[in-house]
Amino acid sequence: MTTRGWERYFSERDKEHDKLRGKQELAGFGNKPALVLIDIYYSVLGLEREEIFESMKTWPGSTGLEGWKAVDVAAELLAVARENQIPVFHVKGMESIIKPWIHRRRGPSTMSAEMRKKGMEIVDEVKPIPGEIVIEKSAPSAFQGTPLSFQLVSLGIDTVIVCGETTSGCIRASVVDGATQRFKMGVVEEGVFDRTEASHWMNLYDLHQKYADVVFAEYAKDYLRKIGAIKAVTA
Amino acid sequence: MYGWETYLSERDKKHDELWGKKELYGFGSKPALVLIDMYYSVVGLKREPIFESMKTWSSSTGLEGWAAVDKTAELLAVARANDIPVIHVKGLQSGINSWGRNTRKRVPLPDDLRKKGAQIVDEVKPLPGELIIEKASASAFPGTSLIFYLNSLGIDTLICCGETTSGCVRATVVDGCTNRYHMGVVAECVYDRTEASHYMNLYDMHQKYADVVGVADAAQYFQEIGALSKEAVQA
Repeated sequence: MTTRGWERYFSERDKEHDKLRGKQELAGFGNKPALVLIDIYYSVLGLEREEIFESMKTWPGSTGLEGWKAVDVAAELLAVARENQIPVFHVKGMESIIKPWIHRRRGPSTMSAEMRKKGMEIVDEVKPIPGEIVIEKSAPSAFQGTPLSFQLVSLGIDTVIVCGETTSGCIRASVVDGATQRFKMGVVEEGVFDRTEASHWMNLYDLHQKYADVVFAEYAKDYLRKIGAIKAVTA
Repeated sequence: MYGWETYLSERDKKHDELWGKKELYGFGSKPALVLIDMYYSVVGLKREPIFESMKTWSSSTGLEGWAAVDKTAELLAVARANDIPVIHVKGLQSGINSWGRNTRKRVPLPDDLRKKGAQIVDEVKPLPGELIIEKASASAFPGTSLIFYLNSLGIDTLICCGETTSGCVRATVVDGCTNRYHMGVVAECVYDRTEASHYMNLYDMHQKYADVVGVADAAQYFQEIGALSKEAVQA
């Protein structure tokens, strides 16, 4: 067994518990996947590639260099999905007057309207192309109040592979809802990112134990290529 | 001290200082108490340390689970004394396929034990007139009539107890927040199998979806609401 990134956050008891009850093998994916990219916009990364505390001076929600690194991985996955005719969905926040769900109080933003708008834009590295669906949500989960599951069901999708941010927020909420709807969920370990390291790793652990297979990017790419090859043969 | 501080990395501590939640979001004026998945199979029939208990009940939370059950029983008594609606949530026992994606081998329990395991523990047993919701998902919301009941009573706040912090409690809190209820999580009344998951999920929920409060504060809140409604009746 390779050491997983979450293990360093375990208590002694957790290590023992994981040995007894932790997941030892993957639950597996199906044969009709989609790739879903969640909330990969500038305000969680900044416009420049800077370390997190530097980036936060302008973009308080930034995830810094770790975020950018995951964006590059997501871009690789996206390229493989496109090459193999795997349906791609882009998910982002809905700009509307609906009251936010977030349970915290903050002062009004001092950012200019222009910067705020730029912040809401999906980053160029994973920009949607015509024919790819963009889902706008006003909940952490991409499923709530959106037509995402309508489209997944109508395409006969059985497996949803996700990248994006935050691991502990919209990724987690979307993966839980996907599992609730009985889609086989996959999380690309290097393709998701967070502001808080402990949250990132413990959410990956939770997701892997309960709701999804957390897999490495190479594994996910191989899977998408394999599906593409089968498609090419049966077409 | 909430307990999650131990699990934060050095960077997380700095990030929390800059960006962490500094004041409670606040509750509304019409709460309900929600007890989630407090049945025997997650605590066992006897009060034993987790690894002992797991020999019979593989998903047991051990003594920490029982401690939370006792605290929940105290809060339940305060809710009842103040006419706060109480909702009990448990798993639906039907043939519907599970949402779980863990592949560990399950040791089947004899029928009578399995039935006992699905029973809500005596300490927080439902009374006639209290709603029992049966669910086939991690969250108490999808596929259940919970929201109909909440809206029909004009509930604006849900105070949550039960298990696991990283599973059904978290999923329910995220959905409650998505539906714009004010969500509360009682720190001493929720429990888990994994310590790091427990604390990091409390942290995540407090940052994003809920106010994590102590049991004394939750009890005081119920008493205040109870006193207000008595005044209103007398006026």
